[in-house]
Amino acid sequence: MAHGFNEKQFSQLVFASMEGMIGEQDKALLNQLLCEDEQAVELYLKLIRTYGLLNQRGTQDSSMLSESDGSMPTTTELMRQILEKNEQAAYILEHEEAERQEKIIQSQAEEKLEAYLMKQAKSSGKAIRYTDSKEQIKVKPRSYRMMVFAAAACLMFGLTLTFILQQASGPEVAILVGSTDAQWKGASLALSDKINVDEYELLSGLIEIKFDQGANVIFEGPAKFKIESANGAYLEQGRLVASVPPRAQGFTVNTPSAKMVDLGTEFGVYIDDIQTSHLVVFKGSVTIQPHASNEIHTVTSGEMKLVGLNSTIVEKDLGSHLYVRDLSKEPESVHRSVCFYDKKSQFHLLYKTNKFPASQLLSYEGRVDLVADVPKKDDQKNQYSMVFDDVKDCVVIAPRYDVDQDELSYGMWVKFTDLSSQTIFFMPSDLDELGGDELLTYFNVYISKDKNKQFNLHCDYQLEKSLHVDLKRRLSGPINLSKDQWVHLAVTIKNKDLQMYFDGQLIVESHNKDKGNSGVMGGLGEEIIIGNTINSFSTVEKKQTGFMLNDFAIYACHLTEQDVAELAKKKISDVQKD
Amino acid sequence: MVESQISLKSDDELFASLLDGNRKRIFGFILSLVPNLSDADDLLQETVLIMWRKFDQFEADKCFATWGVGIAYNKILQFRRSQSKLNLPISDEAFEKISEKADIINIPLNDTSDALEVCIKKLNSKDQALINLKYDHKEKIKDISDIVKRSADSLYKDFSRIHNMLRICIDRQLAK
Repeated sequence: MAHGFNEKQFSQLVFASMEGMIGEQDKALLNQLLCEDEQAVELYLKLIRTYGLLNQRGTQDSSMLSESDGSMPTTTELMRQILEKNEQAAYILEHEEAERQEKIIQSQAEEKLEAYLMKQAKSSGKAIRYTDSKEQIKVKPRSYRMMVFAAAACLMFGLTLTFILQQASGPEVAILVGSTDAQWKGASLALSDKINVDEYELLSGLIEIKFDQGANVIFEGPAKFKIESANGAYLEQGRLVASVPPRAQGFTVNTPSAKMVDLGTEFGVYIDDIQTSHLVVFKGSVTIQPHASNEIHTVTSGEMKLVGLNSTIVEKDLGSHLYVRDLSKEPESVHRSVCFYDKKSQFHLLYKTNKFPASQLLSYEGRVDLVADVPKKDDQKNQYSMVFDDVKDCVVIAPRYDVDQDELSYGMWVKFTDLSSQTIFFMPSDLDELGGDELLTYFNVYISKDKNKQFNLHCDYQLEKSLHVDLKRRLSGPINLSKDQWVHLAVTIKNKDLQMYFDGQLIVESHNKDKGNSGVMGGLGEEIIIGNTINSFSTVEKKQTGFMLNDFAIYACHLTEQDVAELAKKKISDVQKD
Repeated sequence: MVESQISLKSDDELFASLLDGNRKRIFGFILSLVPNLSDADDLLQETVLIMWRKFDQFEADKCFATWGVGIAYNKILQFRRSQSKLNLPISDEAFEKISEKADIINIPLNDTSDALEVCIKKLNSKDQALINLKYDHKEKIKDISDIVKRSADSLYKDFSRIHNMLRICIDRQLAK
């Protein structure tokens, strides 16, 4: 692009212009680019199209884009709109004329009235109080009429609003009594908020709702649910635990596949990705009836049943540990998820204890997919971590992280259980740069043992510029590695400089002369693979692995030496406590 | 009289049929230059109304879409003039360059819209939240700044970055 401009800078100009926030100097620059550079024009059109489409989100207009044939009104609709427009124009003209005529008549009447008042004043010999009299006669009744009309309008508006609100949200039937890290989509609820009959979506965290008839229900995000009545809810996605006192007996949970009616109890319901309903009864009993069947089954304390959309009922082992039954106890225990965000990190993959079974990895917001059944128990120390000891073991992190900037860092705890051979363990692959014409296409961290039995930590990486390899490097440094010992590893990147740390100590760093627009990695890149590597043909290579991993984090910043040292001080005990 | 009515109906049908095949291109052209669906829709209606009224002047051997794009261009120029008090960011000269290209790289809107949805899902949750606040909830950047406790300047940078990411992602999706 001309004038040494890159796409990122150009898109800033375009966005500022769209938002009406562009300064005169930038405006001149944008116009100059558009006049002189065809590539800029093309880019501008694409950006403006994106902006236009985004602007339609959340509006009624956006429905036009989802119509069957695509992006705009159909020809028939268009013709109808045009005809309506013509008719509206005729209607407006007609009414404008009527209003004009009315004004003339009113004006004539006022003139007559004025003349009459003047005449009356003259004949009575009183001082002319023309203005007051006129106002008394003319304005007051009008004001009165206006007041009555305004009051009636307000009343009607109030009634209509109440009616609309009631229609839109339904009556209040519950109250929010507990909330832990709750993130909502759309309408959000705060503690003590009254809850209407309506649909809600909890993105993450936990909430506790007290229904007016007495049932207490904990919903765990991500969850989509509808409060249906003072004694019932519909769970479309996610997990709930209901504690139902005797007076609320009959509390009902509807799900995509079944109806569950409480018989005075405590039970948990989970809807999985394929909309199978899992029912676990902790106390008492619950009836369950598949929607497509008349059969009613009773599930009693300690039992678990699954109902698929096809109404098949399967009995399973109790998975009671998967449910949060009390928000007030041990707040940390509610962090069942293995991935979370903290202040600095973009992504955190933390396997805590057996409270967080491997199966959970599969269902957490699609961020992490287990390729193999990785998390395993270390029987000797009764610790749980992700264990990679098979060629198939690896964790694939979906490309939902965003590190579209010139700096980022990785941090992780590892414990090597096999030092007999080269251990490749971490590879963000095919990372796309989106901020310029460079991309980091290859980034592989691993450990090897040299002839002198010295362990070395390596990072191989490759930068491409305009689709050609621009920089290919291997960074290596010696480390003192022992078997079965947790160590902290960190890789930090800023521009094209890269540092590697082992247990909080800087091992090796690169110094690249050609600084500038590096743009490290893009947010819409491919997945990161941990525990295995892929070759240039994107197939998994059978490298021997043998390590445990915990607290793997991607930070959207360049961690300093002090930051890394602080992280390493925490040691694994902080993330391993039960 | 009867003959005239039949002839009119036939013209209407011909117009509707030609419009049906070309309205996407005309609308895409308008939307490329006026990135606001409501304004673009109004302009499309006004364009089609003029096309309909002037259909008897349309020469059958000419391209209907080009004719429509020409009328739309004039309507957009009128629209720009009516907006000129708002200090338009794009000069007339630059606008001319853009409009020349707008009809050439006309991308099907429905494809782009689908691609956009795919790409939004690929954004990280923070960026998705920003998009959600700005475009779904129609929050102003100043208000978003209060919500997310970040400066408006950094948010402008973030939004332009997200836009650019989405633009690249849409290109890739459309290329598939």
